Amino acid sequence: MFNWMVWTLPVAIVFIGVLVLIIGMTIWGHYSPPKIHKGFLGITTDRGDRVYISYISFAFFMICWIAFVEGALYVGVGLGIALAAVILKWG
Amino acid sequence: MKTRNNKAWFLVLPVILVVAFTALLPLMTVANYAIQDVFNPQSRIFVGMKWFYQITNDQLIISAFKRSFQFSIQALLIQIPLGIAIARIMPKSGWRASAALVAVSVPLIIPWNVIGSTWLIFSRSDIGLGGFLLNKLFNFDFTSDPKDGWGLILTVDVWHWTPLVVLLVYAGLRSIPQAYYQAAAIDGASSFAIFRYVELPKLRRVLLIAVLLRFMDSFMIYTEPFVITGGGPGDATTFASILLTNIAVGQFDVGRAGAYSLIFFIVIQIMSFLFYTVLTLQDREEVTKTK
Repeated sequence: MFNWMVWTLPVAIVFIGVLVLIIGMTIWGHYSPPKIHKGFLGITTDRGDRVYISYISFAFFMICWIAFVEGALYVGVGLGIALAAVILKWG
Repeated sequence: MKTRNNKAWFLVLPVILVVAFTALLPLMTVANYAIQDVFNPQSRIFVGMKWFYQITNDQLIISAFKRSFQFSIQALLIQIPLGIAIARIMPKSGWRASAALVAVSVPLIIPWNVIGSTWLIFSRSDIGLGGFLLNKLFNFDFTSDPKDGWGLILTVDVWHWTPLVVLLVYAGLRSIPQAYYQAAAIDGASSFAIFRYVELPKLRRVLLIAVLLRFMDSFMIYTEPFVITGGGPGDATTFASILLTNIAVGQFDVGRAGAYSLIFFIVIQIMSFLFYTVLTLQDREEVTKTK
């Protein structure tokens, strides 16, 4: 049925991860409502905003890494995750 | 703060179901294409990040992206001020208001291909009325001069989409209570001061929608250049979406096209997020103050 979507394992993991993330954030938000704070980004965000910002920052960082560094992909992934974590914590 | 009832979010579920079939499943498929070399569902090879390396170092694609950005910025700079100006001078009530609204909305209800064909014929320097005249006056020929081709596509986009800005701004202006204008009149405010300190702050929300819609639509512009110039002359109007279609449907290189689409998608996401954040900055400040 889904043969036409030419599934691969990495893509499946990413999308299931996003789904779990959204559902998890919803349940978490129900039991402990998110607090708004203002970090180094200079805008007021709650944790959902920061998850989104760190997610697209990671994606954009990876594109830049692939475009300008050309290689050492795992170093790039590590740095990208570090960047996302910094935004999540102090953004 | 009053606790909100979040159960209303369940009402969004049908939309999510529809979006799943029109956007999410295709997006997943594109993500799968982007890391494989697909010949058909049975024979495909996993290639990892190969397409991304190719895409990000391809000068054709990079210049197409630059062109799209340039086009969007020019379109916004023309359409938003023009839309506000037209909405401000439109009649406020009576049959004149209805007539003006209908007249303004005409470009919005014409199918996009028809708009392209109409302008194509209108602008041809041999048989088109506008094209013939401009050709005699300024030697205008959009099939050979890159500047003319660009200007023509920009003109068509302004003609097609300024009405949307006008309608949004007009609705926004009508929702401002008369009391504000009366207070401004008592203070002896000039017409510009009324616009700057009464209308513009009240219009912020509709302008947010207008800027977002117009940016995304002009960044993804496809039909008009496809019908009118076909991306030419040379590659003067080969915008990012035109090139993407050439790669995906023309060359049937779905792997490269998939990687290209994902990058396109992220750029749109980031630009929309930036616009949204900048334009709602004040609201966010107010939210924090009330806490």
